[in-house]
Amino acid sequence: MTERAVRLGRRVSRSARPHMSALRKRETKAGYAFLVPWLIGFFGLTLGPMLMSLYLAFTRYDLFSPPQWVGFANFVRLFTADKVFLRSASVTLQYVAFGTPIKLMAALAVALMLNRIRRGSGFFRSAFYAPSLIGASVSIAIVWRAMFSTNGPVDTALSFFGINIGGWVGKVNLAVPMMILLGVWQFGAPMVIFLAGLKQIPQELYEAAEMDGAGVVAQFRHVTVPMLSGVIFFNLLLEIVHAFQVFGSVFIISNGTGSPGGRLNFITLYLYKRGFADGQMGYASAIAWLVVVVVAVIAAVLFKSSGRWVHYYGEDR
Amino acid sequence: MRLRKKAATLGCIGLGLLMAVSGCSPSNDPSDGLGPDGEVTLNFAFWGNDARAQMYQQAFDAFTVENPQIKVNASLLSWADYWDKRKIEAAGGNLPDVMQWDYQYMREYAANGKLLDLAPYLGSTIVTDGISSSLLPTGEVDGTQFGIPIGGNTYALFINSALLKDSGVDAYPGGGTWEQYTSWLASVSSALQPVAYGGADWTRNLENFQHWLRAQGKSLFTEDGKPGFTKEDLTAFWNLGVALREAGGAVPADRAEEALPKSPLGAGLGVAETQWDNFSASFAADLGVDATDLSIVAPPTAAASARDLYMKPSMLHVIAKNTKHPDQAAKLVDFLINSPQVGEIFGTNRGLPASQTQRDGLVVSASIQAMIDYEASVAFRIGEPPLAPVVGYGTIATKYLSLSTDLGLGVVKVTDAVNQFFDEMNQVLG
Repeated sequence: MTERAVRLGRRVSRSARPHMSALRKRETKAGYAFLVPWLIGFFGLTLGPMLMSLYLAFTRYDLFSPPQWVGFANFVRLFTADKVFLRSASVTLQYVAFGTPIKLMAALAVALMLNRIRRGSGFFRSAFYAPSLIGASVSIAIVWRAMFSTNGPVDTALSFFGINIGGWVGKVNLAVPMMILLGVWQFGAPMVIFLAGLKQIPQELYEAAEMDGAGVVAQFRHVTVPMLSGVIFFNLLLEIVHAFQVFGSVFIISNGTGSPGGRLNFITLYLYKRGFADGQMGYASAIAWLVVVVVAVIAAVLFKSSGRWVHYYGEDR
Repeated sequence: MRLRKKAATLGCIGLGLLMAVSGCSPSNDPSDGLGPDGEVTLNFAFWGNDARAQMYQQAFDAFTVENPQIKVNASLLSWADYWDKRKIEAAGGNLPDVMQWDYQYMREYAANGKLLDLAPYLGSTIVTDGISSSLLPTGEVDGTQFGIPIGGNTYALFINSALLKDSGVDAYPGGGTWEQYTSWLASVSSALQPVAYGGADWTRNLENFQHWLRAQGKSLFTEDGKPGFTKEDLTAFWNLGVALREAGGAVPADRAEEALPKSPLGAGLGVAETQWDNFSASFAADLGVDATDLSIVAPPTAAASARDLYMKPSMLHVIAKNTKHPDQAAKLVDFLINSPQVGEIFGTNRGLPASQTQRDGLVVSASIQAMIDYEASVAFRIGEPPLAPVVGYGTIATKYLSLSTDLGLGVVKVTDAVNQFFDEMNQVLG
């Protein structure tokens, strides 16, 4: 998609060049001049290291001696000999598969409510958005850890209702749900986007639906959801990518170990430990590129399927 | 007008380049700096906590009084972050001039040419006369002296006396077999749980496995860097852990996880724990009690007459090969190792000082006396120290810890854990 845009842009600029005024030329030059810092950053700090890591993914590199080419050995080891990786991939996928839909549903539900409120909506919008701003911070991870420890607030509250499960932090089966709750709590960003999307839906559609005798549920299913599908698609894609990137909070909550039982050893944490603690940079790069491929495939599938369920207002079909 | 615009355009390009260049240049690196009057700034790195940071600051102040031309710029990190950062710096060839170091990373960095050979300075700038002859060789890798041991420590069993009193169980006398220790732990647990338990799961410490092997005349690694034990050895050891957990002697693994970064003893969850004997101060600080409230006894052993314990360098000082001021760095190392003033400042924070002159500066408190008495009491069990650990030891130790944690949590079986451990170890040892 972006490629097409770039190609289009090039064609336009080429055909326009002969007729360009002197002013336009100078402005183009100035534009590029202003882009220089960004371009240096992009090639030097993003693209260069990325290509380097692609090369390293096929080597054995301990940071001390030069990388040795090993072909696909790192990838073979990932899938045949490394149980920790399989566990890590599994918990990460669980987090993405359960956390993302729950977060989006929460965001949509709150957005729907806020869309109806007339008074004080500004206040509630800020209040619900605030966790997104601080949710990825170190302090919140520390608070989360304390909240879900034995005799912490969550344990105490649950015991009040007769549920005695103790702390979640060290429990193999509760660690991922705890992380999902932390993710869901930061629903503010998608919520604001949903809210903007809801405001865009023309009121006459609801009026027409009401005339046809549609209730609240039917209106939601047949007007809100289709009209919002573009925004849902955008949020879904963004949140899936975000979910794969969770690092800081699992690092802090598990003290960098990924325990209990590897349940907090999310893929980002695992590749960090392999690279920087174990000095297996080649192996870590292989994991990183695998994540890139998986995210790219998921995005491609989403884009491919979007034709069938994403509608844009006024689009001729 | 036009010219001015062109100039502005060029200026922008120039500025952009300048920003990019200055972003990568080491302009904020004080190690480059010979100051105005030949003043030198040394970078120094250590792990620890704020208390240790203050001690180092006092020591550097004293050093600067003697050597006004040398300034020291120190940086503190936690243990894990410390080694992550060193790895990156080593790759880039910009390690700090002088570093606090650990035995387990000696070989990895020395064999890869990252540490300075200290031979030219030994006996001249760096005085080694006062350093105990059993400790000095621990700074060698394959016959070359790369590090100077700061202090030494021995493995020990710590007991939280106040918590033990609550349980009403008799104190553990020290020594004995691991099975006796396990049943003692179980009796403490049954008196205290669920508030507290007997102690940390001792099969989680690689050091306990190492001492258990040493008692049987084996070792973690052989001289040629191969494993010194078999799958059967590790299976037998981890099965002792299964028995410990079934008897209820250990702090449950999920509670131990929650307590991190404190250990079960430091968090007040366990009465007893094996650890290096310079840990009194840090355990006491974690518990918020005085160091004398902890007693130190001999750890259990797998064979009564064996010399299973050893004097380990608690830390060493090393100089980076990439230093631009090796002479000044050597001076600093000598001061940190030998000065009686440094001995007075640090006490046993960095282990019992290796150098006699520094030991002379010690102000012997009750807890330092307890440590000295303890080491004297186990002298008959102290044998030769093992060789500097293999390259990749850190990865192997981490793997051991995570697998034994998984065993405690019940998410892996002993046979699977043993296989996974050997897979990883073979991968690392190549």
